[in-house]
Amino acid sequence: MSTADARITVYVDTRPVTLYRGMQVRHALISCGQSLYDAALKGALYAVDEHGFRLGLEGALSDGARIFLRRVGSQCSDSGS
Amino acid sequence: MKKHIASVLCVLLILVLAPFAAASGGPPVRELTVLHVNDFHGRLMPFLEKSLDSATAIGGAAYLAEMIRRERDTAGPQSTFLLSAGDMFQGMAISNVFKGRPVIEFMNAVGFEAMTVGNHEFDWGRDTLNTLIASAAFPFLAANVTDTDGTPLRGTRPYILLDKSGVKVAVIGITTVETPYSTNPTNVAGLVFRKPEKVLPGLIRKVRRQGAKLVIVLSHQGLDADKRLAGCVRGIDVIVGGHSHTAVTVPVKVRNTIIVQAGSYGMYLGVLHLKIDPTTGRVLHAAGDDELRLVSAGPDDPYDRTVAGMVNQYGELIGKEFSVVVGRTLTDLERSPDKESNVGDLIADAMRESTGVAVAFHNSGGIRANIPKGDIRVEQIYAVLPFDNALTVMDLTGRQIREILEFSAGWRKDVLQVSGLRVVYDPSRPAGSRAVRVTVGESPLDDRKTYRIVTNDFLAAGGDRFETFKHGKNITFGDNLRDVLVEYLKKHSPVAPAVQDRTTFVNR
Repeated sequence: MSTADARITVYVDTRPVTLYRGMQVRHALISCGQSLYDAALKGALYAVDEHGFRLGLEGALSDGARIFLRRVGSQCSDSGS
Repeated sequence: MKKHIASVLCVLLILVLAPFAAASGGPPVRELTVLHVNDFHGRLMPFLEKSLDSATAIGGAAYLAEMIRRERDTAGPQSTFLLSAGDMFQGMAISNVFKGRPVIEFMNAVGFEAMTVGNHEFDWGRDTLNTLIASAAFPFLAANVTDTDGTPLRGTRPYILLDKSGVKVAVIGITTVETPYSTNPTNVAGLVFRKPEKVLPGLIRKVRRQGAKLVIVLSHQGLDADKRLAGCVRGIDVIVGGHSHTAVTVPVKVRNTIIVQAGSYGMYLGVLHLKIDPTTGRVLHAAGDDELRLVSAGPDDPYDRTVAGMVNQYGELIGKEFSVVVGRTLTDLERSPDKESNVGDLIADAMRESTGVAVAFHNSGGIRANIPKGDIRVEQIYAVLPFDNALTVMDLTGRQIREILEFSAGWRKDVLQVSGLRVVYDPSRPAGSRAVRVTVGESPLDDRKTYRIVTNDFLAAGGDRFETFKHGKNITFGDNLRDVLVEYLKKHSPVAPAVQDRTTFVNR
């Protein structure tokens, strides 16, 4: 597989994150910062897609995917970074 | 009088049935219910999802089975079908240890009628997949996966035709073309993953010719890809999706295609009610905002006792499996966050041997327990490596490796554990020049040379702020790290790793 094909860019809130193809929501959070991932593991925040549908941490990501982080108990998007 | 009563009954019957008659005045509208799950990932036991409910468990095969039974009874077994959109087996120890067998037994018990092959179905290799397929009382579907000569993936079918309440329904299975990016390449060697939009039009024509009135695509490629698919391939009535673990609480409609997906881990049962014109197959109505049913596993929630018994049996068996001895160590295996450790060396050696590359890196923070000398059991492997990390192989230049080591030198804890490489750090020197001596094998690190290295997917994503791992080339994902360590111990026991001065400090 070529290097160009091997990377995707996803957006965590508005922040672009470059990942290897095949990586998941959790990798996007790890890439943004360990604290985000830890908070997601603890259930303090969760990810939703552009429709507002919840995403699992092991959910697959596609190039250009937009995910948004929500604090539990909050309806607002939170960059968290 | 009898004639009068008969007339009244006849009128009543017409009034009752009138709303269900097709607009054309043809046969009555048929109601079908599609029950669906996806990305179960071996979650046979209930679990807490704190972002949903911090107190009550959810999911679990027994609770899911009971919900399926009730929905099927309510809607009528003749008009209900149960589908899986893939990735059912890999994930939890209770399934992993038995290579998915408990999940197949659960699926057989509750009467799944088809599942599509997900990318993680390949994680344990083709032989295990073949065993799972052979054990299933339902077909595995994979319309876009073939050998290089076009032969369908062994044991699978492209589609099935079901007759539900007099409506012929086609269910076509597809999986993500990105599968080769997300599993060990050897597991998919010789397989071709064709683009669904190339495969489906011909298949849809074929099943329509065979009388299918309703076409369902059972898709393991994620919601974004499903939306694109619905936008470019005509004739799909419903896409039952998976892969992105999306809880599609309200069905998405693209052109005339309805798209659903039921989150992951058996947290939800998808319940899609459809009203169909049996003549044209047109979907007249689809369920609205109650499509996903949360599978609550609280103390008062009903569960299927037969499935619960089966899960409990495997729960007991896993206790035995966890006590299986997989190796032996002649010395205590002790982790250390701020320096080289013998267990770190052991893990890095296993990673390097498994992949045959030049250098292995593992983060000390990912090693969570020690192992005293003596027998090594499966449960100790889970304690040492509790995270579901996959090996990640890539090319890095010598300069990039030096960057990684320099960054590692800046940490007061979580020094990288390595294999195939020796490094001397001098923390008294300015940042960027602390890795004063680096050798790969017997040679000094060459900044301009490309090295094949292995790490885990946590570091590859830039975990612990090791950004340089994000810039590798020719990346492939490999096996689960625990499995790799178990195989290494089986091969090399007894082991007696000693700290070998792979990572040393001067002037610290």
